[in-house]
Amino acid sequence: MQDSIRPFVLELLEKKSRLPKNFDDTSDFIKAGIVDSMGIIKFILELESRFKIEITEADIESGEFRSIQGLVTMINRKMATGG
Amino acid sequence: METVLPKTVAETASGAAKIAPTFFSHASRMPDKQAIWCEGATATYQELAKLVCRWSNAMSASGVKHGDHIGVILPNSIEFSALMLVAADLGAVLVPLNTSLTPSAVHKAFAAAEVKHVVSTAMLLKSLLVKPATSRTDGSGAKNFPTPPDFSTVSGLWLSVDEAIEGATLLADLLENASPHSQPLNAALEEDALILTMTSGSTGDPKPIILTQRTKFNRARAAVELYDITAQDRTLAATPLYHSLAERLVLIPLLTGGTSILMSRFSATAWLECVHEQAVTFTIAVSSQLKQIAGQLDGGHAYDITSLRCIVSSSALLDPQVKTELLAKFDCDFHECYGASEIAIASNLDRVSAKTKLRSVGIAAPGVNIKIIGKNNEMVGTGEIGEIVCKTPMLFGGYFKRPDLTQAAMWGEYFRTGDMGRLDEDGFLYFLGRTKDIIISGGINIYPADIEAVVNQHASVAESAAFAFPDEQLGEVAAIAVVPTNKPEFDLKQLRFHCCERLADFQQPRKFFIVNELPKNSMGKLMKQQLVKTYTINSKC
Repeated sequence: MQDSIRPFVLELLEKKSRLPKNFDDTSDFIKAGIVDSMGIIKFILELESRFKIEITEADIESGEFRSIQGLVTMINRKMATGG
Repeated sequence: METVLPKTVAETASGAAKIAPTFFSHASRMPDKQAIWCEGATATYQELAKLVCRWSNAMSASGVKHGDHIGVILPNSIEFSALMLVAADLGAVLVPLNTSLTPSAVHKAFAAAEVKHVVSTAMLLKSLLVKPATSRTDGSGAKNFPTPPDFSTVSGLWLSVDEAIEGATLLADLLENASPHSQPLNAALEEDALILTMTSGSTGDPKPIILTQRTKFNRARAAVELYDITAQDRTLAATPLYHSLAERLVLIPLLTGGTSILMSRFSATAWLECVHEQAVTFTIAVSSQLKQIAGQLDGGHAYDITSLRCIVSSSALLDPQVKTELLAKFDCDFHECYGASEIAIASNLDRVSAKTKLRSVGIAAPGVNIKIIGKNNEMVGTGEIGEIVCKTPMLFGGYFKRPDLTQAAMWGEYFRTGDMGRLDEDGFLYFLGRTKDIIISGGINIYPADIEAVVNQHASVAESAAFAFPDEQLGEVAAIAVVPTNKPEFDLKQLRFHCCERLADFQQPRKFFIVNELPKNSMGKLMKQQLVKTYTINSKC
């Protein structure tokens, strides 16, 4: 399951928007507008549903919730601790 | 290379309201001028004209005919902009859809708009080209888990603009079917439909709005005249191209010999960066975007935005406090416009008038007549409240194959906006609220019926009602009051997952109110206004 986190997150982002050429795992997808205020609810629900985790307001405000790298770390941690 | 350029769209086309010939005339006069920029990619007028000619010839050779409907599910890109000109040259009709719609919503929209061909990306086509399977359940309590819809009725060309995918033709391969020296087909007439804009995504009753070539041309012309747009302008579009505002913002520069600057996605920081780097001079932005941008301007920033000579706020109205703040923060010409998808711009409030008429949405735009009618469908006096109706050369071409709805939407030659307002003694219009059941979130129209239809499918829901909830960032968001079939056992998370599967990004309810019953009158009719009043005041959910 852990190996599937990054591809899943990447596909979600690609579905939302064509990614900029220089986009990588550390790029800020919120600042770039790839996940905007319109799309964030579905983005969160898709992550929660796929990985059976709970994403809180504090998680959304955190620096982790801005890059693929940060999200993979967050999801891994939540899955290890049961959500 | 650049010659003296005409100021208005009308002059560029010798009075003819045809989009493709006007664009091609600019391309032949100034081939090396930058026509468009989108996220680092750029094209001159000559490069764009060559792509458009070759594409429309190749489409024609592949069986796309004059009048055919083409479903478009594309992110903002040079390809999407070129496709508008291809359709304008070919006389085909684009049906642009939100890229976040679910396959079943796409299927319904395609059926309602009689789509024959599809243009999209490989990533998005992949979800449509899944073969239909037998019905299944997801264990979440949904009465029916969505099965992949059958797109076999969309029997024409399936085109992928970026990568090869089974079941679709790659754009690069399609273009090989036409000569690099292809000439314009010039197959369209002014009264041909160019765009069908969907007003509803997933219910059984979508009402596609017809926008003809003439309508689109007149809308660009009105903006040119109202905002003094010239060939020197670099016009920014920062909303999705399936939205008629962005379509207009791309067509305006391409019909005036200017330069189109197209953002593929919006954030306040990215907007400021783009204005700075691309020396943007003109834009029409959604009011919720401007509020976010104004927030960024508070803390100081590194971006030089002095290239901006004119900004227009559109789509949802600004409250007077925000309007005052924006007027102070943007040191350039500033307008607020009021309108609707069916009529584009109805009224305009400029910086000068805002000083004395801050609460109004301005006076009628050039060529537009605004009246207020009462409940008996007769005009009311100055200062009296009634429904806003507009007579305009920017009027839509009707609802596709729904003459009944089109007729019902008109008061003689005037379009009934469904909005309440009044006109003062100087002809300034004041917007006082909507009567149509619609939520406007970040400039995008959301239809409560679409959300209710999905929520009501869930086994744990007896009934529901969606409504607009005020939001700091987006103006409004979707809220829903839900009556559960069994309140103690109701699981909100499962309902949210159900919505996630079946509704697009912009349709996701942000607020859920779990209630024992919905407010209804003695006839059993839902009193939505009461719902709105109750829950927008007591905003806990």
